[in-house]
Amino acid sequence: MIEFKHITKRFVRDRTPIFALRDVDLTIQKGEIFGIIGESGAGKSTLLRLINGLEHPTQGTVKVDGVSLGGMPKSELRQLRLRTGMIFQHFQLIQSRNVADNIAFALKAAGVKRADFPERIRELVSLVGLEGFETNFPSQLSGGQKQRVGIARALANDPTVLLCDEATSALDPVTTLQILDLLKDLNERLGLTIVLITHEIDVVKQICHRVAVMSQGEVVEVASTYDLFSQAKHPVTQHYVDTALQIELPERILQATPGKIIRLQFTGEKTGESTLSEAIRRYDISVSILHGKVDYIQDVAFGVLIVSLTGSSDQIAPALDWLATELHALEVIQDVA
Amino acid sequence: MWLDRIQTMLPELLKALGETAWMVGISLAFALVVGIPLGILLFVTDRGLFFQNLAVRRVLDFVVNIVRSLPFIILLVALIPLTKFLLDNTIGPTAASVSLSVAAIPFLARLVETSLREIPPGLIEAAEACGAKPLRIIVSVLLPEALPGIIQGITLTTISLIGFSAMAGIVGGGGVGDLAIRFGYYRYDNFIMIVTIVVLIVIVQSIQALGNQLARKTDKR
Repeated sequence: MIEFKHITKRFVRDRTPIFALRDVDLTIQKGEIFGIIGESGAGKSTLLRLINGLEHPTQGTVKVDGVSLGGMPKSELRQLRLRTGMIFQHFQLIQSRNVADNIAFALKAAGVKRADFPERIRELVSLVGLEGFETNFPSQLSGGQKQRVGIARALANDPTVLLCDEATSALDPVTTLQILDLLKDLNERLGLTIVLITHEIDVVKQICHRVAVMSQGEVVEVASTYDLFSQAKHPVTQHYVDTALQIELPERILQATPGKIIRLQFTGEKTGESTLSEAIRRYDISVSILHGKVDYIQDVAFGVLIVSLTGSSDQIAPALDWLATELHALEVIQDVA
Repeated sequence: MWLDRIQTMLPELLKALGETAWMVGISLAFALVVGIPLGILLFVTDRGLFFQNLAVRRVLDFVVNIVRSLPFIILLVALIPLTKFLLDNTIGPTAASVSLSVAAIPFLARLVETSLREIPPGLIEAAEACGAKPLRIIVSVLLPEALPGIIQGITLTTISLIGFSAMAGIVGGGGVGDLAIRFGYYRYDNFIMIVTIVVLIVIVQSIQALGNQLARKTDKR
C-alpha cells in the first residue's frame, strides 16, 4: 500500500516558488493498477517519483507498506528501490550494452550472484517475450521491444510495485496496446501493484482499476475508472472523458438530415439501442442512427450515439423527455422542422 | 641525394622521436590515471547528481580553468620550481614531462566531463531507480556510455601533447619539434624541417585514425 499524506512539493525557479504538488492525499492499494492522469506540468511525474524517493516532498509524508520515506537512510532507500521497478517514456536503456547486460545491470545493483545471472535473465526475457534478442543492442530494437527490455530490467529483482512514467507515450497505438496487455498480465499473474502516469485517457480506459485526475499540482478527482467515465465531476475529468468519447458528425451529413438530431450517452446494462427501440414502440417515432461508439470499461458498456428522430412534434417532445430520464445524458444538436 | 641526407639525420630523428614518445607517454599516462577520475568527479559533484557537492565542484572547476587558461610555454617555465622539487632536475625529457602532465590532466578531465554530459539525465535517473550504488552507476552506466567520447578525448589529448612537446626544447627536453626548430629554423635547414613536418603529420594522422576507429567500434548508438 502506498500512502501520500498532505504532500506539498515546492520548487524555486528564478526566485519564484512553483508548487508542483499542493496538499495531495492519496492511497494506492496493493495489487491495483492505479492511473494518474493530467496534462504536462500537472505534477504527476513528481508524484510518481516520491514513491521511490527520486523526489522528496517539501511537506507531508509518503509511506510504502507502512514505512515512511522521510529521513530514510540511503542504503534503506536503495533496498526500497530494488523492490520498486520503474519504466520510462524513453526507455532509458544503456545504449552500449546488449539486452542481457541491460537486465544484468539491475541484478548487479541488487548484488545477485553472477552464477545466477544466466538463469534469471532467461526467465525475465521470456516473461516479456523477447527470446532471441538477448545479444541485440538497444539501437537494433523497435520501441515496443525497448520497452520490454525496460520492463524486464524493472522486474529483475521481483518488485512488488511497478512505476510507469508515460511508458507508452512514445509508442504507436498497436504497440501501446501490446505493452498495456503485458502490464495487465503482469498485474494479474504476479499480483504486481502498478502505478502509471499518463496524459492519454485511452491508457486509463484500457487497464486502470482506479484513477486520480491531476491539475496544477492538485488531485482533483479520484474514482474507479468506470465511475470516472460515467459520472465525471470535475471539469478537467469531463474534458478527458469527452476526448475519449469524441465523435463528430460531418457537417455535410448534419445539414442533409431532417428532424431532430440528438446525441445520447448511455452506460451500464441499459444500452442505447434497447432504450431507443422502446422509445420507438412507445411513441411511434422513427429513429435512424447516424453515428455511434460503444466502449467497454472493465466489461461494462459505455457509449455515445448520434441519432435523428422524425415524427410528429407531439410525439417527439414526450419521447425526448422519456429518453432524457432513461439515458445517462442527452443533448439536442440540431432541430430542423 | 636526399636518401643520403635522411640517412645522416636518421639517428638524430630517431632519438628525437624516442624523446617525444617518452614525454607524451608519461604525461598521457598521468592524464589517464588522474584526468579521467577528475573528469568523472567534475561531473558527479555537479547539481542534481548523486555526489552533488557544489563546494568541491567549484574548487575543481576553478583549478582546471586556471591551468587551462595558461599558454603551455608559460606553464612550462612557471613549473620549473615544481619540477625541481619533484625530480631535483629541470632539464631533459623527463623534466619536461612534469609540465606536460600538469597541462594534460585538466585538458583530458574537461573532455571526459563533456562526454559524460552527453548521457541523458533520464538514464542516470533510471540507474538510480534500479537501486544501484553510485560506484556501480559510474562503472556500469557512465563509463560505458561515454566511452566513445572518452576515446576521442584521449586521442585529442595525445595529439595536443605532441604539439606541446615541441616547446620542451626550452627546458632541453628534445623531441621532434625541438629537432625541427634547432635544425630547420635556427640553421635554415629546410630539408630537416620538411622531414620532421612529414613525420609529425604521419604520426598525428595515424593517432587520429586509430582513435576514430576505436570510438566507432565502441559506439552502439
